[in-house]
Amino acid sequence: MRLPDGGNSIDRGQPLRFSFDGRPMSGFAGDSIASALLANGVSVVGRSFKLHRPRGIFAAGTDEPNALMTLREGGRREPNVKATEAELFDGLVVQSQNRWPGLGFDLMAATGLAAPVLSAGFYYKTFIGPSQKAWMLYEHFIRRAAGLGAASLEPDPDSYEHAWAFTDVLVVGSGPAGLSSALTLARSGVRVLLLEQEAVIGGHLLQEPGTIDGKPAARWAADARAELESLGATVMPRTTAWGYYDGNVIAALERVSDHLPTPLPHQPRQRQWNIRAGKVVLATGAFERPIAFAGNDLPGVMLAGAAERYLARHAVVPGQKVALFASNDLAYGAAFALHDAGIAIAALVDPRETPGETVLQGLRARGLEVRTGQAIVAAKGRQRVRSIHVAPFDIARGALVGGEDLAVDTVLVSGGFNPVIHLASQAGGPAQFDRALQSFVAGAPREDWLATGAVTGQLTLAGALGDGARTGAEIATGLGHRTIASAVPTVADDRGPGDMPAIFEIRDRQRKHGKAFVDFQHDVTVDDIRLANREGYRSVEHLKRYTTLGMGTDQGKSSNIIGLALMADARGISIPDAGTTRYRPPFTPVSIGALAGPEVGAELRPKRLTPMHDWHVAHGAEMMQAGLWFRPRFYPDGNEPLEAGYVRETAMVRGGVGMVDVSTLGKIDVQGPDATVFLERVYANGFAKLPVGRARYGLMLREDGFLFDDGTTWRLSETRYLITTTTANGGPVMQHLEFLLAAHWPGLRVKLTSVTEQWAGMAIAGPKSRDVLRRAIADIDFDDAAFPFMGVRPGTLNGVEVLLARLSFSGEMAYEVYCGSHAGTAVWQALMQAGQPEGIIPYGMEALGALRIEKGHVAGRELDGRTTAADVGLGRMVSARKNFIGSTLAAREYLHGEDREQLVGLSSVSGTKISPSSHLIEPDDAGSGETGPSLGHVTAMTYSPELGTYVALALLQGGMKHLGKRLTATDPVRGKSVEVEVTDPCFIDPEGSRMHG
Amino acid sequence: MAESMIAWPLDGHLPAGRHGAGSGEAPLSLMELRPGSIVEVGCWPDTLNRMRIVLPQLSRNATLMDLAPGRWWLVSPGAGLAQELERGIDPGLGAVVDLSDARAVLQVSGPATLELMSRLVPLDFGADRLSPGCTAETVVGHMGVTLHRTAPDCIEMYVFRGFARSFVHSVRQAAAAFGYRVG
Repeated sequence: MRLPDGGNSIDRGQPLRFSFDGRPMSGFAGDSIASALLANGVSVVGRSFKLHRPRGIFAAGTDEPNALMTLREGGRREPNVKATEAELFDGLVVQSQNRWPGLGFDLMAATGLAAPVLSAGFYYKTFIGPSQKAWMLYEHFIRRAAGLGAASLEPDPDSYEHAWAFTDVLVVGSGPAGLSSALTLARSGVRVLLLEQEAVIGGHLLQEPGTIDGKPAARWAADARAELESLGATVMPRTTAWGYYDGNVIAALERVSDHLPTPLPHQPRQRQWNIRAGKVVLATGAFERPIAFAGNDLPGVMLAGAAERYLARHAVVPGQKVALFASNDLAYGAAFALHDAGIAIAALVDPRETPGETVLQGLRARGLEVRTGQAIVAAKGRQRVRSIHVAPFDIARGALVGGEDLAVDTVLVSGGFNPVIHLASQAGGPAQFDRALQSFVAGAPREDWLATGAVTGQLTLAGALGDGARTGAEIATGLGHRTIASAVPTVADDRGPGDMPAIFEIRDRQRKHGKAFVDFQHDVTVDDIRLANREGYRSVEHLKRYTTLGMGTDQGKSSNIIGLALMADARGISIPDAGTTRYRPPFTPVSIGALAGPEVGAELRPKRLTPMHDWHVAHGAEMMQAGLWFRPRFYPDGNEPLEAGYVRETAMVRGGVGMVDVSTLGKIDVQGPDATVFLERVYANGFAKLPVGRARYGLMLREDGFLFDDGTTWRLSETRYLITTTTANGGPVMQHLEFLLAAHWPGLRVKLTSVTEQWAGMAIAGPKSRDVLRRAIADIDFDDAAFPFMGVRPGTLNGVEVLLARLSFSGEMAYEVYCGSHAGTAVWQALMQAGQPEGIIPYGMEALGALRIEKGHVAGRELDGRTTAADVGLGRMVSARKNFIGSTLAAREYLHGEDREQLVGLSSVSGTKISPSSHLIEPDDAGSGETGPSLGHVTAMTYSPELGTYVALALLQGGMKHLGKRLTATDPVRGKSVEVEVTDPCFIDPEGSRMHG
Repeated sequence: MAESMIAWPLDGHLPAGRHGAGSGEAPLSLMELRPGSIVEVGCWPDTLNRMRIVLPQLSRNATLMDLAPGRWWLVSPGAGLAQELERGIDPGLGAVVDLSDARAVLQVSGPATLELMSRLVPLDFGADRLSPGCTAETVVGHMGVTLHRTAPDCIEMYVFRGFARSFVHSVRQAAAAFGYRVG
């Protein structure tokens, strides 16, 4: 219910409409969904996860265990949002979760009847224990019954951003300690960044009844924000620090547009920040801790601080007849504020002997009485609290005597305060138990942070303000700033927590009153904790997993400490001896969209395009990806299928001339007086005698002696080479060489530069390739004597400088033509033009593959990291006369075994297609052809137009020993088996007469 | 070389006009730079001091960017700088590599430049860090970028030519949140 005036966070001039489960409702700008639901008199907001019990709003922030909602519709539908965190906007559609057909009457609530067996470890005992099959059968039903909301299956229409920030000091939390710390730092000239998860700056100041420097606390917070911004500090509301990582890096989520129906044009929905801070101030505050008693999960039971907050900020009251059950003085603030607002306070129940003097004064001033030395034993009702059972309570023995029932509709509960040490725990040592708080405070920092305010147990307003100012001053001084004495503000009407005895549960050993819950979200009861103890799951880690305590989306913010305390009690040990689990990121849930950022859909990976990309696309090429590169697969003639297309292109290269884009090959410029020495060390074959103007095929091994990469290296001058690598290994080879130079041979005068992107490359291949080039390039003599095989020559084409090398991957006469990338398309077009009389065609990756398979040239599928030079028939290239990277380990006996898988050719005996995923096995007499151990596998397959059959390359145990042997190439996955004959891997022109001209 | 033979990597991918959020004067301006020469110069461990003297003399009107110990870039509007430097730097002194065609260059300027940068690169442009004249090697969306801050609100980014379109897409998408002008 909403009061007619008040509420420091709402704007009554801006009414908003929204719907809850289809019912139209209204609220004001500044409302959370929770405050708006309370204002509309909604008490049941959800059903519990396992037992489907009705649940109401319990907290007012990130610690809310119950009020999980599905917001919005269509692609923006978002499940499991805490109503206490989400801001209301006009037109918002809110749906409750985990109920059917409705909140008021939920069929699944019948599971409550089976509650006695739905205890801790139920799933393990019932479904996993007997057999795996039982679980497989039941899982589907269990997952549907015990559920959260469902995500939308439509694409998310919004965008998400990543961003980085740097600051001298990051302050997390804008409550009294955070603000006073940030103010002191900013006044001292320190670069400050302040994060606040809510829309309004101020944290607990927004509900403080006291005044600061004569101003209402909320007013003081607003003024502090203005001052911070005027001093150049960055203040980020709606931003939650959720992870603390090495190097003082904080991950934070900014909810840029969550409070709007749709993001403003060009704005993201959320922004994920990575913040690197010199120092971090953790002013993260404390969560109020409930007390477990029977029926404590009924709607109408609420944390006292939450009620105070809804009243102060939203002018909303949770009920009309309120009981307070508190074991500390601070909680009385809620009852006093409600009383002052005209709400009936039916009972003030305090298990202590007496509250503190400030509370007593407050009671006297209002004419209220407190039932000291008593406890609420049970709350009763069906859809909401209707009465409570109150009984005298002996703190020392936990014993209850007698008691009476009182009619109430609301119970405010407060059992103390738990410091919010999540971030500190992520970046610090084990949490330390604090006896005064009966809770854990942060352990020793492992990163550069200081905790201040309530997170350290400083629960008074003046204490938190003073602590924050001191922390700020300490950091500013440490950073060498001349600290401006930060005037610690004067606080009036301050309050403190008083004595906070260890009371976690009210347990009636004589009478059963119903279930008492520890973890509301996962339906973990006090009995479940004791059951886990009896069944041997006693360590905190086992307790958590066995009962699922603290494993909900709230991560046990309201339940963990009680759970630990009850386990410690059951085991007869102290809470610190029982220990606590470590907190892990994220502090609150983070959307997958925010983590992915802009890298979605077509932008998942960057696209790397060759200079001639647009030409390929314009000429109908079907493009394929090779790593990040896009390359033409083939250029279909009309609706021509792939195989027909690549066979046509292959035949054209063998019989005429074709051109392929090879710009993607890795290229590395190697320069310096020691360049030759360097190459001698990194290549397995010799380079010392390579003359200028010549290229050589080179083999690079890894340190362990296996093949790493191959390619040609061109000697451009006495001190300069151009290394080419495979497309896939351009980056890795560069890294490998850079590492060797930096780490092993820093004295070598050699510079390496990637020039992959500098050069557009095109290979022009076929018996007529020379005719085309002669016509296009006038200043190069193409005669064999002047430009022999493996020669390298500079020239010009239409005024563009080009570099040619006579190399052949196809086995035909061929040249690679390199030019500056900006001129790539112009040179490509000029060559296509020049080749018209010869009928030149462009060809793609498939034909390139077919040509190299026919020729037995190895590529990535054979250089698979497990083959040696000898395995692929290049053993003779490996120099025995020098040391090079890999030479020592390449000599290992293991790498020279007779039965290693080695390169062979395969020819399809019947002419049917060989599956490229085949393994090779001995032919089976029975003819089934799918059994027997693998003797090797097919690495590449093509149809050879020249041979008129399918041929393949394969790695076969014993390799060429089996020349002429018949084997079965079998692909059991696709049910294909073909009889093949082992052949030489070079199917065409083994003498190389074609490429040598 | 005739201009007609050259295709600039971002040609057609930065449409002129005002784009993105807001109206009126855009807080960002994007432009493809088309330097005639980008040249990398390196030296040997024992020629560092000599190179530090020689290089500024050879660079004349070119912008000198300090990339790493013993490694620089020189960027100039005119073509042919690599050949010029090769004449002045023999192999005993260092290495010269022409990278004029290897990069696409995008200039971002305007009052929102640093805020845009915070969406793109994990770099601190704060008061005493990466001040005008500084160079950094960084990453934008998995793409390696050489970044040169030429003025408080002006940054030039050099990216592998092959990534030019993906890169400019990333920058434009981030810039749209502020509003930007091309041309």
